[in-house]
Amino acid sequence: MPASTVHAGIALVVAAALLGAAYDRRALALLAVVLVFPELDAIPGWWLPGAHRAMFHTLVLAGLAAAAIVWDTRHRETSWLRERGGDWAVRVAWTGLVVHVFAHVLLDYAHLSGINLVYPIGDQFFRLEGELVYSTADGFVQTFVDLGGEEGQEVGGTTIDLGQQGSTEDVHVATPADPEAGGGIDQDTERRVPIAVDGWQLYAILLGLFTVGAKRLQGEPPADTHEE
Amino acid sequence: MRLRSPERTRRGFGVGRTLWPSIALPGRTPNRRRRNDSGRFTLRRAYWRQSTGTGMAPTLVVAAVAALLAAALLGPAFDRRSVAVVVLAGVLPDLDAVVSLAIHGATNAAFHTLLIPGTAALAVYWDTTRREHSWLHQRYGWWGIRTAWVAIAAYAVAGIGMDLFGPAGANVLYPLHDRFYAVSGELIYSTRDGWIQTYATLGGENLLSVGSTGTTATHHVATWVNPTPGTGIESGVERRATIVGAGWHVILVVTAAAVLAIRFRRQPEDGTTEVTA
Repeated sequence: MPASTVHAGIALVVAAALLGAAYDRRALALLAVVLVFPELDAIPGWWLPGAHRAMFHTLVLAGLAAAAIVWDTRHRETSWLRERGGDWAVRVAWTGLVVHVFAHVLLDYAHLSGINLVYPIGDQFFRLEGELVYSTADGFVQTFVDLGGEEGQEVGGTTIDLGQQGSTEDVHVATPADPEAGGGIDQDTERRVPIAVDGWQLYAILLGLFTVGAKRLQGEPPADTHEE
Repeated sequence: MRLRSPERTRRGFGVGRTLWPSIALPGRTPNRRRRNDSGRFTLRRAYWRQSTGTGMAPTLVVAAVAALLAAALLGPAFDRRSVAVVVLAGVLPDLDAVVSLAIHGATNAAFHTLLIPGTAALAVYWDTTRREHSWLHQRYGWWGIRTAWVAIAAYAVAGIGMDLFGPAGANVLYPLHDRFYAVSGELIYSTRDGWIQTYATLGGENLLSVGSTGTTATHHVATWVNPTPGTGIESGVERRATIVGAGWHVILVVTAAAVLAIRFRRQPEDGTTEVTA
C-alpha cells in the first residue's frame, strides 16, 4: 500500500470537495475509519496467504456498498441512514464510498503489485502502470496495456498484458502487519512502516493538510449564499 | 530527470507492434517482476521507485489537482466559471516552457517561482482589506474574492508544488536565487533501523537542504515546446508531450473527473439531500 498517510492526503481533498455542508470533524473521523478499514485484510493474511489487497481491496465490495446505499435511501420506505443522521448521513455515506474507491482502492491499483480487482469473482491481481505520450516521431505511445507481449495470459491466440500480477497464490503485498509471504504471524523480521516514499507521496500528504488548513482559514461566506 | 534511452525510443518507433497507424505499443519495462526463492513474485525495488514518471508533472495531472482544489475550497463560489479560472491558474506556470524559447533554462523557472503567487496574494490581501473600496469586491463580489484566493492556491500548490515534489524540480525563488529544487526521498519507520528520513538534510553547511537539479544554466527540463537545451525553435527534433506519466497520474485524473461530475450534477437548491455518485 502506499502508506495510509498518502491515502489520507488524497482522501482529505476528495472529502472537502464532496462533503459540502456536511463537512465537519465527525464526518472526517468517520471517513478516516472508512479509509483504514481495507487494510484490515492484512489480518486474514496471517492465515490466508494473499488476502491482503484482495479481500477488502476489491471493487466487488464497493459495488455491494453502493447498492446497499441506493437500496436504503431510495427503495426502502424508511431509510435507516436518513433516520439515524438525516441528509448529513446520506452525504457522508456517499462521500465515504467515493473516498474508499478513488483515494484507496484505485490508488493501490497503481502501486506495487496492485489490487485483486474483482476478488472473489476472479482471483487476479492487476496493476496499473505505464505512460501515455504523444511524440512527433512515434505518435501516441502508451505502455499501460500491452497487446501481444511476451508475458500475460493467452487470449484466443494473442497475449494481452493488462498488468496482471498473479493470483493470491503468487502475490503477497508486504504490510507492517504481515511483512513476509506465507501464513502465520512473522517473528523476528523487519517491519517497515512507510510514511511516504518519493516526492509525490509526500506531496499528496501535504496537499491534504493544505486543504484542511485552508478550509479552516477561509472566512465565512456571506449570509445570502449557501453551501450545497 | 530520466531521459529515455534511445533503444526504447526506437522500439516505439517502428519495431514495436503497431495496432493501427500512429499508435505504437512498445514492450513493457523488462524484468518487471522476478520470482524470489519461494517462487513468489516480488517487485524490483528499482521498478516501483520510478513510478513518479519522468520530467515535469504532465499538465493534465496538474489540471486534475487544481480541479480537486477548486472543488474542495471554492465552497458556495463553486460554478463552471470559477472552476475554469482555478484550473487555468493551476496550469499557467507550465507556460514558462514558451519563455524558455527566448530565455535560457526558463522552463520550470520563469513562472515556477513563488514570487508570482506571493505577489498576487499580497495584491489581493491589500485590495480586500487595506483599501477603502475593494476593486475585486466591487467588480465580482464575494465570488471574486474567494475565486481569486483559490486560484492563487492552485497556482502555488498544483502548478509549482507538483514540480517541486517531482523529478524535474522547480526554481522556486527565480530570479532572486537561481536554483532548481526537487524534493525526493522517503520517510519510513523500520523496526530494525528506526526512523529513516531522506527528503531533507538538517544541519551541516546549510540549515536545511533538499535535492537540487541545478540552475537555469545547467538544468533543462524537456518539454514539447522546447525539447532540447538552449533557446530558439528547433526543427527536425522529436517532441514528446507526456499526457500521463504514471499509474497514479491516471488515478488522479479519474478522481478529479469523478469529483467534478458529482459536484456539477448536484442541484444547488437541494441542500444536502442527495448525491448521485
